[in-house]
Formats: sequence, C-alpha cells, structure tokens
Amino acid sequence: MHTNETYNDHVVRLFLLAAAVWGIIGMSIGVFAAAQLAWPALNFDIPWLTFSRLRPDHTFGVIFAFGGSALMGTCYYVVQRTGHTRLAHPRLANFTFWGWQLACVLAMVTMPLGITQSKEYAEPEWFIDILVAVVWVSLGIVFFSTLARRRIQHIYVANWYYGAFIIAVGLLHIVNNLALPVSLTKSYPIYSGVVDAMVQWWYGHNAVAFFLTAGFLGMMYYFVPRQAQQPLWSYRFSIVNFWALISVYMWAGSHHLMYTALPDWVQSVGMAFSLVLLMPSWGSAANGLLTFNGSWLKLKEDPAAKFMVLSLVFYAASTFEGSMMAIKTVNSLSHYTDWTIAHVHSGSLGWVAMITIGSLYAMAPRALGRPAMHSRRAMEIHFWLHIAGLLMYVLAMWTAGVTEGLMWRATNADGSLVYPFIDSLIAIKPMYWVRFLGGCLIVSGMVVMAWNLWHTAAHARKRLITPIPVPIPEPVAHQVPAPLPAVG
Amino acid sequence: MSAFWGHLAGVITVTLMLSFIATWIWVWNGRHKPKYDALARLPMQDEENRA
Repeated sequence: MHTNETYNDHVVRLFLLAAAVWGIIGMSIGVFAAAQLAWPALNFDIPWLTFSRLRPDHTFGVIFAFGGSALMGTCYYVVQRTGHTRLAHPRLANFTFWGWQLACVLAMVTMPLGITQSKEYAEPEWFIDILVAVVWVSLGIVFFSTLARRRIQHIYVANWYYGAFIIAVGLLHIVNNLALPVSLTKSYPIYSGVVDAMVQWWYGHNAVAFFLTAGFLGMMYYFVPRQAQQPLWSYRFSIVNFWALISVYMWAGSHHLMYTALPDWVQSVGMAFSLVLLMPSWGSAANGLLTFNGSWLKLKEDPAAKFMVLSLVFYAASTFEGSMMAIKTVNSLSHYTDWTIAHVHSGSLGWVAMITIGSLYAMAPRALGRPAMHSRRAMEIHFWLHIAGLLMYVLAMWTAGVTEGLMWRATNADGSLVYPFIDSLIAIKPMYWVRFLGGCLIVSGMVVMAWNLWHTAAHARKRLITPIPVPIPEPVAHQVPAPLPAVG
Repeated sequence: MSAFWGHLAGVITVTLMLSFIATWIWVWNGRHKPKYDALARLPMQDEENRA
C-alpha cells in the first residue's frame, strides 16, 4: 500500500553514535583500571584517579552508557520494523536520548569526585537517580505507545524482551535507589544491614538479568534472523524461553551472597534457581545458533554474522559457568577471586559486546542510508582484535582466579594458612599484564568500529539520505488494538 | 521448616511445574502455527524491503 509514512531513524542514529563513543570511553577507563592493578603507581596519588573511583566509572560507562545507548537505539529501530509503524512521541524519544546522555555524563563526572551511594552498579547519587527514572519512564511511554499503534497484530518476540527489560529495570532502579537525601551530594538508603545487602543483590543480579540479558536477547531475536536471512529456528521455543527466563531470573540474586549473614535457606533458593536458569539461557542460545542453519556460509563473508554467532557461543558458555559458580561448593572456591571477573567479562565482552557490535554493524547501514558498512575489511580487523583480546582477558582471569582460590584455601595440618596473602598477589601478577594487553586489543577494535561508522555516516552527516517508508500491510480482520490508518 | 511452609513450598513447586507444562502445550497448539511461521520471517522483511 502506498504511504508517505516513514520510519523515525533520527533518534536511532543518535543512539548509534553515542554507543560508539561511550564504548571507547567506558572500555578505555577499564583498560586504565586494569593497568593500575598491574602497576599501582599509576594511581599517581590523585584521589579521582584511584582504582576505587575509576572502577564504577568503567562499569557504569560500559553497562549503562554504551550498553544502554545501544539498547535504546536498537529498541526504537526494532519496535518500528516489527510493528510496521512510525515511532510514537518523537519529541519524547529525543528527550530519552538527551536525558540519558546527561545522566551518563553526570554519573561519569561525579563518581570520580567521590560522590557515590557505594552500591555496586547503582553508584550515582539521588539527583542522577531521579533523572534516570524520568528518562526510563519516558522510554517506556515511547516504546509501549509505538507497540499500541503497530500494524502487525502479534507482538514479535524481540519486543517482549525489550518490554520486560524496560519494565523490570525501571522497577529495580526505583526500589534499590530509595534513599533519604541529606544534601545535594549525599543520601542514605532506606534499607540497612542484611536487608540492604539482599535488596542490592536483588537489584544487581537482575540488572544482569533484565539489562544485560533480556534487553540483548531482544536485540538477538531480531538481528540474528535478519542477518542470517533465515526465519527464526523455532518461534514457539522462543516463547517458552521468554516466560521461563523472566519467571526464574528474579529469584537467583542471592547467589551473590553465599557464605554471608544472609539466611542459609535464601542462599539455597538462589542456588536452585540459578541451576534451573541454565535451561532458558541455553534455549535462547540454541535458538539463535540454529537460526544460522542453512546460512553458515555467511560466516566466511560477513563479519557481523561472525560477531553474532560467537556472541551466542559465549552466551551459552558464560550462563553455564554462572550456574556452576552458583553451586555453593564451587562458589567457595570462586568467590572474591578473579574467576568472578573472568565470568563477568566472558558474559559482557563475549555475549553483550559482541551481540551489540554485530547488531550495530547490521543496523548501521540501513539507519545511515548506505548499502553496506564503509569498510568490510575494518569489520574483519575489529572481529579478530576483539576475539584475541577477549580470549587473552578471560583465560588470564580464569587462571588468576583459580590460582587465588586454591592458594587462599590451602591449609597446613595445624589449620594455619600455607600462603600469606601477598604470595597470591605475586603469583597472579603476570595474569594482570595479560589482561591489560587483552583490554588494549579490545579498545583498539572499538576505535576501528568508530572510524568505520564515521565514514559510513558521511551521507547522513550531509543530510543526503532519504527516510525509509513504512510498509503498510493489509489489515487483519478484527485486530485489537485497531492499527493506525496509513498516512498519505 | 514447619509443616505449613513445607506444604506451601510443595504447592508452589507443583504450580510452577504445571504452568511450565501448560505453556508448552499452549505454544505447540497447531492453530498457532501459521501465525508463528509468519512471525519467524518478520525480521527478514527489513532486507526484502530494501531490495
């Protein structure tokens, strides 16, 4: 059907640019923090340069600034394409972009100055939390309003994941950040003691669940079939996995508090749900990988597809590892060691970053009005830099983690410790050098991606691209809610 | 654990299992197949529209 209605890709392009910039900033801070662990003199005795203040800058920068920008951009792209409709509330959508960038800048500037709630992954103070909440509610209004005006009767599964991501992260953010401000720069949480710890890890774990998993699964369920040019392997299976994942994930947070003052039965509940969680995690990984059946040849020629396939392999591997680490006996070896760091980065650099990069490479040419990325060779270089850096990072931290765990647990016959703590630090020092080198490779890859995106965006910068028309499908009889009439 | 909490835990476990099985049966119901087949192809339309 002829129509003048076009997709709103302007805000998508803004988020795409922001993701590329924040990716470099967040990961560079991470590399510098890694260098400080290998060479502590790099603190320079400057308070805002100390590891303790830069570490939350790194985590916030990569999770919320880089990951959040990529999630919001792809979310706006996907909800329009799978609903065959234009984005609702364009001004509010623009506000979500500028509001989110402001929140990220404020957080990244205040945390090194020591203005922090000291809650992991929720460090920014109360005034930034309020801004984040306002932006998040706006994101929800834009997303769900766009869904309500869709012209495809059924809501495509990627939107279920994006919807769960928006609702759950809003809930987690608000509940965990309930606090009493005593000044502009200081507040105290309304929780205390072990309750504070449980609320914090209910939040922390579900930030992994609904920000770093559900959101990126939404990305995966749209961009993998699109890039493979194959229908999703099993749409039915994706529905079962969705409900299983969101039902189970909420209850696994207490596995972060094994062998603490938390009641033992709560720890056991967390362990049991973590083990069950393996099934929906592997279900989605298998569904994504099997979607490539019939187009595995794409791996030879398409670096975006390579990123996607490897991301699914790392998703399967890191969720298996996570479930195993939630078993109490395994946790007694792994907890407080660099094994946790290896696990987190296997998930974040392997799964989250690679599905994001693959999806950005898939989405960018379409959103920027080009037939393909500016340089396929640069994409190929980025892939190999990322994989080499990732393997160096993860292998080094696995080795360091198991070394620490074994040395800390070793006891003599009389019960005294075999090794003083300093011995374990000396033993893992070479692993910290390897981690730093791996990080350098990954950041180099991100710079290559930014260069490639900049050149792909040449026409968009000169405003030479034309908006993409919305294909209007024939209406389905008795569709509820009734779709918008075509414009023009 | 008291008998009450033990029974409650059992009821919740059985309810969750039945919900899980019911989801499978509902999703694999044949009447959904044409709709799901069309949806599985939805992401590919972005490239088809480009062509």
